[in-house]
Amino acid sequence: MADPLTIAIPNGRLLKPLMDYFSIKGIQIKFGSRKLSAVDSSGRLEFYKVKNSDLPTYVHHRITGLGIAGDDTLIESGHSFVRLSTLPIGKTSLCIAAPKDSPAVEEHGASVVNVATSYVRLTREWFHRRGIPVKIIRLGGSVELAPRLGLAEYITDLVETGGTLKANGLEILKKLADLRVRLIANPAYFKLHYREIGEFTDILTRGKR
Amino acid sequence: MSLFFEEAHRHRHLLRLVEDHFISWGYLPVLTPVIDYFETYRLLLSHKQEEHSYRFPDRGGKLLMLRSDVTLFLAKQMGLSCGPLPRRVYYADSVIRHQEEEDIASDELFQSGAELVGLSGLDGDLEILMMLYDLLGAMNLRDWRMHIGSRALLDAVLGASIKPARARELLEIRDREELEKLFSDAGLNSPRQRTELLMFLGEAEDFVEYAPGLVTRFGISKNEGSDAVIKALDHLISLATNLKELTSNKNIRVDLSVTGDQSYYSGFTVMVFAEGANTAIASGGRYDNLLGSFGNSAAAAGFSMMMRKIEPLSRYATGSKMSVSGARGTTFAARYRDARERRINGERIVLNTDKTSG
Repeated sequence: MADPLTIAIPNGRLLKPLMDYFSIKGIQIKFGSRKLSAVDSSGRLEFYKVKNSDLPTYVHHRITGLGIAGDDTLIESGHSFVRLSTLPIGKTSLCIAAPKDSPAVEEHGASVVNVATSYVRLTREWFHRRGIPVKIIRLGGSVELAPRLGLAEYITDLVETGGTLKANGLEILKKLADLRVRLIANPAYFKLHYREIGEFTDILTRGKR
Repeated sequence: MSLFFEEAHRHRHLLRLVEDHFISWGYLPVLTPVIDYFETYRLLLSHKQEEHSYRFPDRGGKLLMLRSDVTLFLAKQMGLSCGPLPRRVYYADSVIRHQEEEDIASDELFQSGAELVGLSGLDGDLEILMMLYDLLGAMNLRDWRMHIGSRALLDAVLGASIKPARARELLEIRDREELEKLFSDAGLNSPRQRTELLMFLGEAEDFVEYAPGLVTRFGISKNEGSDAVIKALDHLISLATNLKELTSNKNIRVDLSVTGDQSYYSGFTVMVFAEGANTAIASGGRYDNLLGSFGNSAAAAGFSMMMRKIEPLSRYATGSKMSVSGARGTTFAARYRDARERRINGERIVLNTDKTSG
């Protein structure tokens, strides 16, 4: 039998919906207690649970051939991957937010807009494309605190319900991008295994027959 | 690039195989400069290539660049004066360009390759592709595939209204949705059919069977620029048919999303992928318009291989061990004579070891 396809999956908020989705599509995986790898019941797919932000690195270096991650993680990594399919789970948006009654960034009076974010590439690209001068302050998390503590007037962050923003006195000013969860491949791995990958992509799209 | 002992031996061992191979095909060595004026190449570099090149001012303030691609530097030499055609040349040298933010050592690559200048058409394409195919076989890699594409076909399918750089980016990541949108936004008809055509990936045999039907199946004959599409497809069918007959076939694939990693390609393109490598280990193609940028216009095709990526994967390279014996004898003169005799038979002998009696 050929070597199984190797797939990195994010060990975070996406894990539960992803495992449920696999189950619906007939892919049965059981991770042992504290185990970070598992082979599916068919023996053709080998999964590795990795930290979300490390996932692109594993696929880029071809430690695993395939991976599943959100656009935010993939774009921020700066690496290029083959996009195989979009999964109907984990939809989210990158939004710009600020304290209530703040002006839109386009109408901000100062020469440079200060923005705190964990999504530097996505944010920088959005501002640059519109020609709005921006100073980006990179934060690892709890970005909602930045305006209250005086670090930046604006933040960009992932928004699902908007509850956390509201609880911290912020409101959404604009949606910058819709972000989806993708199945990706290392380009060289895809070229060598495109048939098997095609079968896996079909199962993810249509389910096992 | 720093290599020591066994690793350096493996590098040299494989390099000798490569150079012997090129020489046996009648190719002569060339050396290119490591530094040149950036302005000479600026218009031939894509935005990304420009960003990834190492540039710095000389003492007079003129901008210089380090050799980021041997073909480009070689094209200048050949374009200025290449003598009687066709010319067959090979090279083996370092190139320096940005690769990884975290690892500066990865910015120095070792490329070895060959260029055939002054021979256009199918015979020129096949000479380059078969020379590469035979060399990959001699390297004894575990599992590898040669993916053949066509820049001529891509250009014909895109027409004049789409920038090739954007289409190539989308093809590289095989983003069907965005590619189809690119065609639609440019007002080209049959956007889905154009996308499907460029996404073809299969064995050479499949392509030879499948391609003739493409013209009618995708309604190409009704589209703008259909003559150029049909001409490029016909050429690729001829190439695939010949390769199918000359090779074991399982290593050859037609992959229309392979359009070349350099902006100067104009005909066939090739990329080689091997089990264990995270990127292509070799790439090349036809670039009939490049030399003309430097003066003398001449058809040209070639390929280059990323030697440092291939070395750990090649069983020919890893199988070679640097074994050395000691000379026998109690005096230096005796050991010298013993070593001289044994070296004639191909043995590797050192004169002075801890145990000089052998």
